[in-house]
Amino acid sequence: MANDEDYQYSSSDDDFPEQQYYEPLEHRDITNNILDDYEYLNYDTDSLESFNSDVDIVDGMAVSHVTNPNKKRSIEGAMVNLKYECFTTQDIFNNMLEKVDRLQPMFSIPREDIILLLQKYGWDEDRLLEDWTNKMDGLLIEAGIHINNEQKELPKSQRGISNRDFFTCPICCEDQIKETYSLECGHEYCISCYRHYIEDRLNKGNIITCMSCSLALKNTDIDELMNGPSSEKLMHSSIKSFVQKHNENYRWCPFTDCKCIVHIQDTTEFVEYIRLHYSPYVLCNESHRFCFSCSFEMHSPADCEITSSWIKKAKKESDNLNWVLSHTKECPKCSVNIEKNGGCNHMICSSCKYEFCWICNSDWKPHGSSFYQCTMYNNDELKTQTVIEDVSKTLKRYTFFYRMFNEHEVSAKLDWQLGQTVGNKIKSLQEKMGVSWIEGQFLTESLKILNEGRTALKWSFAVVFYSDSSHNLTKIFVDNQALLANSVEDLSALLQIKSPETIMEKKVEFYNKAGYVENRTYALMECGRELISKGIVKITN
Amino acid sequence: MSSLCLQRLQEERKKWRKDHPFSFFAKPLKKADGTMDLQHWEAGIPGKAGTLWADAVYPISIEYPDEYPSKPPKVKFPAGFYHPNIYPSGTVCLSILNEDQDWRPAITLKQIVLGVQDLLDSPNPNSPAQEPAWRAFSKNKEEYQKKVASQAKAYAK
Repeated sequence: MANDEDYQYSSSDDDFPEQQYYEPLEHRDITNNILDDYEYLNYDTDSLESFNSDVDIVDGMAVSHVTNPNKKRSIEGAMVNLKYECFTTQDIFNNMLEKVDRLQPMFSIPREDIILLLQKYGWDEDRLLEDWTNKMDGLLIEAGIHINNEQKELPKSQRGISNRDFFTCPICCEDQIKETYSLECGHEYCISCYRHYIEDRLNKGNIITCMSCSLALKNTDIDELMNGPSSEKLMHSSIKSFVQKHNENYRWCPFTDCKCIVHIQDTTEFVEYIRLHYSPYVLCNESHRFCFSCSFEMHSPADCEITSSWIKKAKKESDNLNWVLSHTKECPKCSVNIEKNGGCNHMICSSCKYEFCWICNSDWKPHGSSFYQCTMYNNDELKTQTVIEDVSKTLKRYTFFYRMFNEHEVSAKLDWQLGQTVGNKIKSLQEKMGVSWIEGQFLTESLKILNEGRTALKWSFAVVFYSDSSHNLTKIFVDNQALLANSVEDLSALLQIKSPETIMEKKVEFYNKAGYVENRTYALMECGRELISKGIVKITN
Repeated sequence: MSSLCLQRLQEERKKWRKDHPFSFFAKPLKKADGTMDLQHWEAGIPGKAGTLWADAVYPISIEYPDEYPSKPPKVKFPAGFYHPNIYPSGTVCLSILNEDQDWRPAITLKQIVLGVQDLLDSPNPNSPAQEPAWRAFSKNKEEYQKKVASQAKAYAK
């Protein structure tokens, strides 16, 4: 479940207005402008950070939108001042060409040759310069730019394609070859063998040489042979290996098909992050947020350590479980197989019309009005069990938490599909009701918050799994979890509304519920951080 | 097997039969149905005269991948062969047999077997492939020579 496919639901993140990382308040300002007409409250941070599941607050939230700019920052998952840049391979390629331009006046050899030298030195300008001053001629031979005269066996020939009658290629042993290619070394082969050979090596990112000796093919030669800009592909794979080699400071965005590379100059700040149990989240140009240190999606309230051992455990124990749990469930009443195709956990069996909660399989009625307890694992029976039964209990306990984790992952995916229709909803709002673009943004905004809430909820089950369940703070954490789960379900149900009129009528409700989810997400993350800081989370596998 | 691979291997065989270095041998194996399997060869590498390895012929197997000649063949001695640059499995660690290093599609069978012969008496202590022979070679020459000599006896002509 850690494979890339699972990220696909997030890969169209760019539907959202792009957020400026350094100005986390920007989109909040937009919301505030719209909110001018509505009353909203600022709860003081103390009441939220006490992690009390105070019912008054819950009720209060239901009618008022709460916003606190400082909190937004933490939901984005980072301390301030993490400085990073985001590149695409094209940007890095351009940087490299700049390097070439800088070196050209010093080296006074053709640019193509400098590219070869830089490729040989893994694009390390300084090391190349050092060696260049020490052993210029040796370097030119080593990089395959000049022929090593001592080893020369064949008469010098011209670089390029030649037309021949009845040439026998020593590689494929075809005779009657018409078109051949050779470098100055005189090793001549048929053009189709060369093409095969180049095609094969474009992905490796190393210098491509003559098929017999170490004389290098320049980018211009490659393009001439391949009849197209194939050398670009070589440059890109060269950059790829550059990034992989410098993985301390460079990271590929882990989201499917995203070409962004995030670069952090100074990774020493990470120590501070780890000390405070924050994770260094970064946002790529395509608005994908991921953790720089573990290259995973945003995983708060879990830290990197919990995340990686959870993933490992999940891989190990639930290859089968994974599939069985994620696809169907039987109706608790009539046992018909049900596939969930919408984001909300309020299920109505299409066969017997029984209403139940997708997560706890029990009647929906107690869920609807007040917040519910089905995210809690009942641990009481555990105490009286013998050791042998303990093992199966541990597995059962894991299965329970894994199921929770998985449910929210699946729900998040469905939410994502929901997101695809949100765009259409906005369109129809604009057409039918003459709503301006900016006024329709609350839908996308709500969806984004919903998604963040779900992700936090999902990872919180990994935290609880590793936590000491007898500790009071764990209980508080679980309470927080239940509150967030409740608010997420509410918001998710709200987003299912199809009619544009109803949506506009319920705009305030959208704000309230989204704001509440946002606050609960933050509270859960902070509580999780405290849990980890106090050493209540123990990783055991 | 691609036609490119097959055609080239037929040519390699033709060339080898026409001319090959003295006291070397190399031939394709036979498939179960009695036809020739050009992708699997067996060959013998004589130790160079005047070295510890002399007076013996060391057996190797050569396995050509479908991507040959784009990719190099795999050359193996019997498992457990005593030499600093030969893996415990018998696989030879030689730069001309490494796709990412010095392999070139133009390298012929003759060049490969001569390269392997060269490697026998001039091991490269910088890329050890097995511990016992490497340790002895760099720390205890006497023991190394003894082991090599006894191995030569086992493969004596």
